[in-house]
Amino acid sequence: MRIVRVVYISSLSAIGLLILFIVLSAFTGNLKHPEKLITGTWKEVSWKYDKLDKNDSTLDFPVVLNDEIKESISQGLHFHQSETWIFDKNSNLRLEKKNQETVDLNWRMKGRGHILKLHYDNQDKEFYQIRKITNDEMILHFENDTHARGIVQIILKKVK
Amino acid sequence: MLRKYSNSRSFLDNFKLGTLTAFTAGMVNVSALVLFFSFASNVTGHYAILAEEIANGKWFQVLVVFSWIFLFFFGSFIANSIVINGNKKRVFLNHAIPIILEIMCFLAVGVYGHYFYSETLMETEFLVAILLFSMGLQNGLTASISNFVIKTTHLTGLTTDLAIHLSLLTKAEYRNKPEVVQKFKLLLGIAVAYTSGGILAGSIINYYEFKVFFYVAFFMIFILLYDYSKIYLTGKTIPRRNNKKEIQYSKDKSFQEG
Repeated sequence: MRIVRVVYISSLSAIGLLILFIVLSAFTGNLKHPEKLITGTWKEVSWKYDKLDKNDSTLDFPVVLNDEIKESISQGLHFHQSETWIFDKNSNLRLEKKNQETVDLNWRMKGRGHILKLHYDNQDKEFYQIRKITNDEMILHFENDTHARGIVQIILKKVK
Repeated sequence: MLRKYSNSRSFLDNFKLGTLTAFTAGMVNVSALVLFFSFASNVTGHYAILAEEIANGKWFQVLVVFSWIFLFFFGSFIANSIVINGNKKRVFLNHAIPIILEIMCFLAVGVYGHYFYSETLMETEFLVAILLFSMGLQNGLTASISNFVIKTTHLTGLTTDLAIHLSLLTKAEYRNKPEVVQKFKLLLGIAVAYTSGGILAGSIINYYEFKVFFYVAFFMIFILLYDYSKIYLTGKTIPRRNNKKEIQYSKDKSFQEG
């Protein structure tokens, strides 16, 4: 009798799980997957500091970053001096720089779609937090302590 | 460790079970964090994330996080169902089945991650889901067979209990109570084991990556074989108590310790 009960409970649980997955799949079909949202061409709009140790009035540099500070912060990062980010559905990312030069990378999402991983052939990995992603705007965060300890926000707008 | 049930268990049984399983839980949690950027056992954190995602209207993420929490719940449900509905004459087997399921989860994640993982978000979400299910199995099993004394992945509750017991030990009347001292040692042991597992995984994960889950699975197999060898050597298991006595005990125990 006990075996029957265990089999009965397990079967019931498996059916419940199956129904849950079907319902979730149906729902997720109607919702935009973060990997689909990110696919397209994005243009950098602005860079600014967020969550600094100091408050705005005591800073000796602007919260919205100018080109000079952007240059020094992004030194050594994959997207250094890039203006346009083109994500395709095969996980390729093309960065177009101001001087028309291009850099080809790979991108992946991690976690629940809140981490963006960039890498060259699985080497030199960089991780950015996707703070917000909608059909027309994406905000990326990364920690930086070049000028002050804080988080740098990159705001991108979808152009295509 | 696994042969005994509820109040048939000694302090040493609980200490061995708690520390060894907490060590693997720490390894799994840190491995998941490094490989997937998601916790595998921090359900409190997942509840907070679920609330945040609902507030932000990110419905896809809401469904993902909800299914993760559900799978942890489901793992605990399955573990306890097997323990309470299994054959009373085969206590070890009833307690071993959730561990075997957990080992299968680790091997599945290890094999898939090592040979097939192409880092898509959907794969990541499924692998995290399997790990949360395995942690639910482990937490459900250890809590169930230890009469809710051990919860290997519940570090919030453990830290609270540890602080309470430490404060109790400041008074001589509690220092002289062996159950208070033993509970403190057990909680401290679990916290140290969980952290040690996490440190070990954090140190080797970048080198071994998904192979870490094979090591965790082998460690769990060792726990099973160790306990099975005890049965083989002594030739008997200790029968479980009936449910009526067990409930009475748990009430008395909570009043004694509370």
